[in-house]
Amino acid sequence: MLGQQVVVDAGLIRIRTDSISGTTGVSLAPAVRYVHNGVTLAGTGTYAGFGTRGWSGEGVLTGSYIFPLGGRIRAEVSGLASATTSAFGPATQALRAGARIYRQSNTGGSWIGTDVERSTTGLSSGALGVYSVTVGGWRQLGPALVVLSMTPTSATDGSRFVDGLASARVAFRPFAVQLGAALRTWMAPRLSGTEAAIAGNVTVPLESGLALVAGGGAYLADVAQGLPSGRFLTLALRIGSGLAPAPRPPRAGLTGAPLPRAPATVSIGVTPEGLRQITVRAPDATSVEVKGDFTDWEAVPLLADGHGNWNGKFPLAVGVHRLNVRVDGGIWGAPSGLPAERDEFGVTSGVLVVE
Amino acid sequence: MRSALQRIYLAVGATALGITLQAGGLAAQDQRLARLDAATRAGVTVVIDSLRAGGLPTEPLIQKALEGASKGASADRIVMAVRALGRDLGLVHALLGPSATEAELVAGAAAVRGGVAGSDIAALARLQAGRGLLVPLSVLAELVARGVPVDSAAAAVTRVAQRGGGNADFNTLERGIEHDIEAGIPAGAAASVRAGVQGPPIGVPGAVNRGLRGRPARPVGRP
Repeated sequence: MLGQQVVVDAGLIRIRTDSISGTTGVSLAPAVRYVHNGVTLAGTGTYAGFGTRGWSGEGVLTGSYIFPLGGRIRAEVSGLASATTSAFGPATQALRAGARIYRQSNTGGSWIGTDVERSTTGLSSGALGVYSVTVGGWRQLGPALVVLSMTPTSATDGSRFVDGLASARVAFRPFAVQLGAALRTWMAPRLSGTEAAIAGNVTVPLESGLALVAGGGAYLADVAQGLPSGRFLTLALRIGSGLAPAPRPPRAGLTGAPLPRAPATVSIGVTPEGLRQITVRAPDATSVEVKGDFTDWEAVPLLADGHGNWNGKFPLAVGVHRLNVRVDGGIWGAPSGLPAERDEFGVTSGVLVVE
Repeated sequence: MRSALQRIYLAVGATALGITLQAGGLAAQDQRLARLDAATRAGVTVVIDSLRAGGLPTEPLIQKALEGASKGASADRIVMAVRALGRDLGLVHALLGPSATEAELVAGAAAVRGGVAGSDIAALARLQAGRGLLVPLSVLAELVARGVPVDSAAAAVTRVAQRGGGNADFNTLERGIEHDIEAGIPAGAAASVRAGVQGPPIGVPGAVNRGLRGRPARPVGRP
């Protein structure tokens, strides 16, 4: 995977926390991301100004290296540095290091890992250490990438809790929707009790390099940095490179109703003479014909082998070919077993790749 | 070194020049075109002869015209289809250079028709320099025809090329994706997983921990 992304979100924000009543301001959030050969480097910044009521800013730098361990197992080491500064209170800093092992399956995967974080809040209480173990998994379900995780966490001030997190990223072209929910169960010092938060955003591409982003919801407190929970609403214009491309017009043959198929399955083999033998499986047929760019698009009858197979030998060159099949004088269509597309003439054709 | 865009302009210019010089119609000599009516044959002949003048193969255009006639298409539709194919062949020829074979051009044009960007084909050509492009381009065209999103298909094939994969690796990729699709896995996910493009959702755990992007900067103060 190789890519880079530079975007800036600029827009409006409304926020409310335990210590700040609802207030509206402007926000500016640049972000850069670079991915190359398993290395991901990212930086984000956020500034929010609330006029005479104050301002806040945050910067986060992350780095990650992911590499194969063999088979479907991969390992990741990562680091994070962040800082906040604000007119509402003291600055905070945090450093975090983590390691994860991933196991990938055909439709998703799982991971187990650990994180160590050290933070300072600018208060006299000194640095706080936070340790966590996380287990989780992800799965591609249709257009959605669903991620679930559970993270038991303890801190040097005696805090212990478990975060259960769920998120989903769904692409409903042209929209991209991201939803997340968190459930925190306190073990100590509160001994019991839960907190929950849910948030989401939707991205609407306007044209190349421009998108509208709307978000809202709630987030839990950051125990490590001593940051409060809160609720927010944002509406921003996203400007930058590497954004999801504007939606392409639907391609004929790939959307809507299934394409018509000839009631037969096709396969291809090589004859001793070096020709290609096209075999159509149609046990109940009384006649089968084929036409394509290897017959000058003239119908050629196939020969029955008495076992439900219909064969023909053709001098097919290596490459991409197009063909249609007709059974018992019916409609010409793409046989099963081959990709099909609606061609320029409004008819379904099979695409045959000869290796 | 000429950019791809400049070469495309040259190819288009050569095509226009060919239209002027070859209006006499060498293609009219191909007896197979007698299956077309006179109006269709005239339109197709101009396109075919112009591509021949530009040094491009004409057999794919003849086959496209015959396909249209076989399917009962109108003269306008056949000529449009032949022109479109000629344009795609010219684009791919400009991207791959004069050493490209007819089969490579046909496979590349099929990929372009499926929505693959010229830049992806050019990148693939650079990665496959000296190793042949026919199989990767054919696999790319087939993946797109199978409904794999263009970006995913291009990324999957490019990933194999980046690994230095041979023809067997491209064919294995295609068969694996075909198997996954038949098993019900969405085409895009199948391509990503098979090519190792998707991998673990890098940064997702951290992103969830830090809250979704779009969240504001966190005001400070003890919770």
